Amino acid sequence: MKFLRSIGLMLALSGVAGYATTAHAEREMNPEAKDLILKGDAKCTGCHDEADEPEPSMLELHPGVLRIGKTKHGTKADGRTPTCTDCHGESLDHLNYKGSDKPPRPDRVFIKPGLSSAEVRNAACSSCHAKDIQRSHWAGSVHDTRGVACNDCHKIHSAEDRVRDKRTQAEVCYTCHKQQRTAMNKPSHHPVPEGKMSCSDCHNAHGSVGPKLMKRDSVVETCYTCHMEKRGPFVHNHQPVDEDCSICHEPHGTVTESLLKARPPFLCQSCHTPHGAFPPGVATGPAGPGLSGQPGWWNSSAITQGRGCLNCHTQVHGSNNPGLATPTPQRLFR
Amino acid sequence: MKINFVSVTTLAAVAAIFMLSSPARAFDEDAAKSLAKRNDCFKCHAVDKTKKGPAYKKIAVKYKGKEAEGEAAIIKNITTAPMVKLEDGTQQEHKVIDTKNPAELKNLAAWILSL
Repeated sequence: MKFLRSIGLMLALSGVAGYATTAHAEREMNPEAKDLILKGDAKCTGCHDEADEPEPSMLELHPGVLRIGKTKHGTKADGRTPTCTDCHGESLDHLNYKGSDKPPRPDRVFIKPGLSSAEVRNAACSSCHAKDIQRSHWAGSVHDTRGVACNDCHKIHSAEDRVRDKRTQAEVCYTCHKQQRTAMNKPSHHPVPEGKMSCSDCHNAHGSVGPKLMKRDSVVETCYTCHMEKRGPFVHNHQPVDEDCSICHEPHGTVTESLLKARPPFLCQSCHTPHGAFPPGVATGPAGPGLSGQPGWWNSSAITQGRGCLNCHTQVHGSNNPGLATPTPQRLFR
Repeated sequence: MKINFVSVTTLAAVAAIFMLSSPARAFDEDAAKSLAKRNDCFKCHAVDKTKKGPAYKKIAVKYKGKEAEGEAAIIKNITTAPMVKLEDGTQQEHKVIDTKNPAELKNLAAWILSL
């Protein structure tokens, strides 16, 4: 009897569970599509929902459309937040397609290499972002004139926009700027590979009035934002310091210490003629029997062999040392 | 430890009921989903919610107990592009799938009908 009661109870439970499943399925089958993320997105998310999510991958080249909800473009509380059609266009041909083939593309698609031109894609972004002062020099900038589109660097639907993360930004830039990737991997480099700096600390990729898209109006002004001790003013300036740091330095990286383009004295001698004779008191070689009278100790060869310009000219960026008079001028000495 | 014969029998009976009520999974779910995703089936259908087309669970309920008929109907829809009625009442040609392999088509239909 107890056995039969148990069977009956189980059958009853199975029936209830089956009914509940059917009822749940019916409840879920709501023919009216509702906005999922953005205001008015139902016309798009009715088809493009979580099913658009790609297979998991490390690169996330094409994040699912609903990921927009994790980005600033998905902030519904902000009245400026756009909806799908603000960027992709009304796309009526795409929306109203009834055929069995693939529907026509939306008005604006942001797929590399780009079924929509860079101008068309950028126009969608600049309709809101053109007012941003950081992007005021985009028109006519190198990136603009060479057909770079915003989404070539930015991932709009991804919460992880790699170019906006200091640790990963350089990898995005390196996809085009391969020479800079090589330089950054040389022994002497700015700490970009270590994640302490990013390309945008010096460059404004959205355009600037300076050369090489420098953030400030010149190379030196940009360098001075961190290396302010090189700015001066000094009693005696070293002209390249005022003119362009990259005359002596390769900022992305070199095999010479201090990011120098070449080792002293060769770097120095690319502008300065080799040293003339030294007075005996400043001679670099020991005086003594068998040594005196050898020209090597009196001219620049010893300095060259010792790589020693900076042994005396320690203040190459500028000096306040007043001693410029002969016989022992102390240019750029401490 | 004393084993209650009635309890064991009850458990065995319940297990038998569940085994009989669930169909044998003679299909590759991952392959079916992959084929459906590749062909944008999920643009119009979802497993458990109504989009432009009916949910797969609704189709499975419709053909419950008539699996052979359901399989034929599904394969006809995805291979011959008939006009189908959408959930909003309008009509549209059904999309044609990019494979003609009967095994793949049957596998997809079997997965849908199993939901």
